[in-house]
Amino acid sequence: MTTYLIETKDLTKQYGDQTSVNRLNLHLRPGRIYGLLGRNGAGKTTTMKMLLGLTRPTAGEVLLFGMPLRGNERKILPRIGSLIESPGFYPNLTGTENLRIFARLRGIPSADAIREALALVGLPYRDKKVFSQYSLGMKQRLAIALAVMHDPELLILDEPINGLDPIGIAEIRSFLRKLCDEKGKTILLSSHILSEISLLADDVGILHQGVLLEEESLAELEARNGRSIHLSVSDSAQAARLLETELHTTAFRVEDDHSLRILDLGLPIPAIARTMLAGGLDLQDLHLCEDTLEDYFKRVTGGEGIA
Amino acid sequence: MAAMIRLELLKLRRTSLLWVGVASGMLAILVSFYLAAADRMTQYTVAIFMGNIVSNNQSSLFPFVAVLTVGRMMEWERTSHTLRGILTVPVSFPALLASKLEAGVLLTMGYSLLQWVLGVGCCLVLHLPGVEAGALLRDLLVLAASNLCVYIAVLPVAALSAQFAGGYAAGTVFAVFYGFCSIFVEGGAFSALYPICSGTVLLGLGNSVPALPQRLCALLSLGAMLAVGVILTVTARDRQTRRKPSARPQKARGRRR
Ligand SMILES: Nc1ncnc2c1ncn2[C@@H]1O[C@H](COP(=O)(O)OP(=O)(O)OP(=O)(O)O)[C@@H](O)[C@H]1O
Ligand SMILES: [Mg+2]
Repeated sequence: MTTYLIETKDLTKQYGDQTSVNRLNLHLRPGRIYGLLGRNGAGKTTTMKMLLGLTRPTAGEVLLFGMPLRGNERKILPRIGSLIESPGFYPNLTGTENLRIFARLRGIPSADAIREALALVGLPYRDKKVFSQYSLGMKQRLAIALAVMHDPELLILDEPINGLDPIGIAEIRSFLRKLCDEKGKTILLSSHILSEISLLADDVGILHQGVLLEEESLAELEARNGRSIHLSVSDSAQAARLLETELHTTAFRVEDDHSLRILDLGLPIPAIARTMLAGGLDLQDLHLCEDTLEDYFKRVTGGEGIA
Repeated sequence: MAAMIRLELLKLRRTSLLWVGVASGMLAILVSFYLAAADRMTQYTVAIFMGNIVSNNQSSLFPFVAVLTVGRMMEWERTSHTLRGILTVPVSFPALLASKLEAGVLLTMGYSLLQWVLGVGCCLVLHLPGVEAGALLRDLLVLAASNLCVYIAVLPVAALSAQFAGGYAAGTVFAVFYGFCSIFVEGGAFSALYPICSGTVLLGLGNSVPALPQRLCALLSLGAMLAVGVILTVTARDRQTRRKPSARPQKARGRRR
């Protein structure tokens, strides 16, 4: 049996009569980056708060490093670095002063650790600016510095690239990748941006209205993506009849008056073309198409995309 | 523990919070100064002047300053969203609250010292009789001890109100009331039992010298406040506000389904 770094068992959180997280079973393998993907309000932050003991689950259990979180907080939490929602710092103190407070609380020798952490995220050491004067991206960087300052084995990052510019995003991405590949850290990150997850994560969990719809490696997910044959003709009703009578298939969808999608990939494309032309239809387009991950995400979360 | 208290003081850098304390400390002096300057009937002495500062602190200023300061220190953690970071270190909520209440004791001492310096300055300006080293030192100790007693008397209020988001405001209003009521109790039969006045009785600052049973009562009353304060602190937790924000998204979701 693999020991997971994070494992939840039917984790549930209810706020009043709303179920924000519903019987969640997460599995995080050591040394991997796990992307928790979900639309706004899907329950990503709530899940992470429960993983850190910041809110108590209504039901279910959290296991971290193979131990139940309840009762082992003092053993478990120092091994985790986290960033939940917005970066939390004292607005009246500088970045260095802020990190110094947390370094003292964690009992780590401060100066070097702080300088290193700031260098990692590209912020100056001993800057005169107080936190309230930081830009959004600088605040986010400082929060990441805080999360990695004590060299934790596990990182739990809620929307870590929030507010960063494209170059900053790429920097943080390669920084996280390096932490995982070179230092063997395990990272759980959440995002509502699909492309971000697909660029960074090894494993993906799709959370929708508090329910974990999918949990797979990114590779599997991409391989399993729906493939179909797209057909564009002068009359789709007539084409549908031809597919049923001549090609004996019902595995297709009529999308509008002129286009169809054939899900039966066993049909040879030339045969489809011949049948359509023989039936007196004009054929405008016929090709094999692959669902992008985004299409897939839209399909499983049922509706308008958010990526 | 000492390290935690130092961090609490560090967190106050560049905030206006300490100025509230300084301003109200000066107010106590100002009122005494005004009385001494305007009141031609009484022959003011340093002892009377300092005594006025003590009683102004007790009845109107220090109860609310103490609750406000500790309450704001905790509220600062909430509004800056640093509470999450601290709880995941992990530092427990009771430990955090305790370090703030302990930092409050240090601030009380600082407040007393500041008042004493300003008070002595006023006495010199007014040329009040009775300026001598021994008496002044005694005044400092009395001022500090009396403020500390008031701090203990409001400890439960501070410890409880700091647990609620925004609770410090209600706590402060209550402390104003709690302090103000001491005016009616002061010198009466139950003076020793009313925690805000207990310090006066315990330290023998009233008009009459208190009897031993009275002092015991005062001690008991302060001890009870201290005990309640400690119990509230040990059992403290971050009591979140009622769930209101969830109401709307939830309805929207229901419709979509
Ligand atoms: N303290 C709370 N009280 C009541 N409801 C809450 C609370 N926190 C979260 N919720 C509700 O739980 C649901 C999930 O919220 P959550 O913050 O976990 O979403 P999320 O996936 O992090 O969304 P986003 O991408 O917008 O950050 C939402 O409907 C939200 O309104
Ligand atoms: Mg969120």
